[in-house]
Amino acid sequence: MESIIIQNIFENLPVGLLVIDPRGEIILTNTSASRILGYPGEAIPGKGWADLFMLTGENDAFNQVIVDVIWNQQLNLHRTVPYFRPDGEVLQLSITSSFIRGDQEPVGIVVLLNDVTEIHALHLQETTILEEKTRLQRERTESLNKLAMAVAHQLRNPTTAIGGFAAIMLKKAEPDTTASRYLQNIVSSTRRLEDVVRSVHDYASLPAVALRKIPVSRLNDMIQQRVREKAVELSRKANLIIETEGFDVEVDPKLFGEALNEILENAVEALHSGEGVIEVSVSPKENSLLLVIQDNGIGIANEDLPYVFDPFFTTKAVGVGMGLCRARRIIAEHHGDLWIESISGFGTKAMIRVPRTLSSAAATEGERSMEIVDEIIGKVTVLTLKGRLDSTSATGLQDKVKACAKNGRIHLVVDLAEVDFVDSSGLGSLVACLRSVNKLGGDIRIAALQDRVRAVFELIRLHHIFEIFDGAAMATTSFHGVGKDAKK
Amino acid sequence: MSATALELTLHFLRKLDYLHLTAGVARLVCETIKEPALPGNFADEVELAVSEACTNAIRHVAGDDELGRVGISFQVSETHLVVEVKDQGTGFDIDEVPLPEFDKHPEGGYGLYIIRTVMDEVQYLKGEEFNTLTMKKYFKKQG
Repeated sequence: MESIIIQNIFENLPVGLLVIDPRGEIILTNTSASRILGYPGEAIPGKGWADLFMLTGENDAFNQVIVDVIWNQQLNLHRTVPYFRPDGEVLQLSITSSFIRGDQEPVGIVVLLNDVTEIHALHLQETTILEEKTRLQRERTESLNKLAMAVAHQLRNPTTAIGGFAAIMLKKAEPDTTASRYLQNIVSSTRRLEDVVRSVHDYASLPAVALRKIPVSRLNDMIQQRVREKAVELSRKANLIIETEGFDVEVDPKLFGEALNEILENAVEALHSGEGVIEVSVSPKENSLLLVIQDNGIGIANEDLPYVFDPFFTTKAVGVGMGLCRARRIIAEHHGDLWIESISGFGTKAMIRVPRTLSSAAATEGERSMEIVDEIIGKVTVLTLKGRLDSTSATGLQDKVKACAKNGRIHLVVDLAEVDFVDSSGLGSLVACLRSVNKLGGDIRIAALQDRVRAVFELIRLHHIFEIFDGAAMATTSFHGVGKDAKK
Repeated sequence: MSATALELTLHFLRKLDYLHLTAGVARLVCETIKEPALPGNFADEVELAVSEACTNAIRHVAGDDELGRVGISFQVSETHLVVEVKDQGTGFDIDEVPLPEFDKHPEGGYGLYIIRTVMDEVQYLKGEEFNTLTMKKYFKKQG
């Protein structure tokens, strides 16, 4: 009676169940197991497990679970593996397998099978959707940046014209007349408009972050210098307290420094004219770096707090209101966060969190023989190289150009003013770069060759395929002179 | 024959990590040359030749032994500098190396041409244990 009940329970379990004895013979199975595995119920018992699953050769991952349990006499091994059924269908099986030991010797292993094919497919689908979403988001950001750049560019010329002509008219106008007051107004308003255009341009043309490993002490130096300068400029007294521990951080020194400056400047500006205190702490938190900048200044009004990161939001008399917006974007490019807490009248606390190591490839500063800085000017990207261009740095240059081309940046100026050594491996990589960019309809133009570098260029006749200019500005303009938009 | 004023030999693993070290040593060696008529770009040209020769020895010379070594030696005498680069690769026949096809502007293959242009005498000897590239440069322009 009891055995019938147990048999029934076995049979009707929704999960597949196999019991395999130490010799590899399947001694017990239920309906779900044969359904999942794709063998008729009567075909399984008595068969060797190896006869059923080892022969096909496709079920390596599935077999490995059982082999592992037997070899390691493991209890409760859990894995999700693909299973190829005899009818050709592929399932994702979640397998729980356990070794059973009797009093003296092993009894066998129990295998529980769960068909998770559908869940697995859903999961895959979710990942794909997520990836697609990120891609769309990135594309949207990029096209928004392009739009902002174009608008900034289109606004700059008329603005300069209006401001320029108004200034000339102002000079000629009778002082202290209505006309001169109007003109004065036009001049100062266009100046403000120029500031807006410039900051939109700066925001939209943010270069890609180039991570470097730098000692945290360098961040401290940057912070101290900036706070000191700003305090002197505003005749405030800032008492700076920095707490750090010795470790390395991985940031783009230039961009991260700019973001930091923005926050520090705000902190100094907020200080009361009496003695102000700015406390900075830099500390590693698990895999992140946490930077807290706290001042005891005037604070931010509650109703303003939600908007401080919005573009063009400012409470200052001077300033465009793009500073914090740009700072937050820089930190976001570092895959980090920037957030602000403040109590009006008591001070503000800005916090930056960035991952400590983003890429294992980030080079320690000084270790690389060549540094590449990129700057976007209109449709042209200027790559400024510093150091030695030889076989140790050739790949770095090619990677950089590849990355530019991928983003549609195919009008490149390579500024060699600060390259003091090249050899044929280095120049060969430059030729490879030129070819790849030419293929896309772009060009690489060379600027500012030192004499000894020019000598190598000419020695291997590369001055025939590269246009060489005295300076980066001339090389950049040469691109803009092409086509119908040519100016003068 | 003139007396040797300075002789310096370096041995290093076949890795590009050592390329800048050898280039730097080449410049230092050139600084010891007392010849007043030494052309201003003498050290530049030696550095270039050393960079080309060592890159070849490290990278392009066949031979799969990762742990292979490269040797470089400098000899400064009264009238000239001799730089020898030794590699453990299978070597090549220097007379078989063609000139670069300049009009096609290839991405590589300029090394030996550059060395021959900036140095005065260049030899490559295949040997049992190692091959030797010998590069000689006179302090005063020849002929």
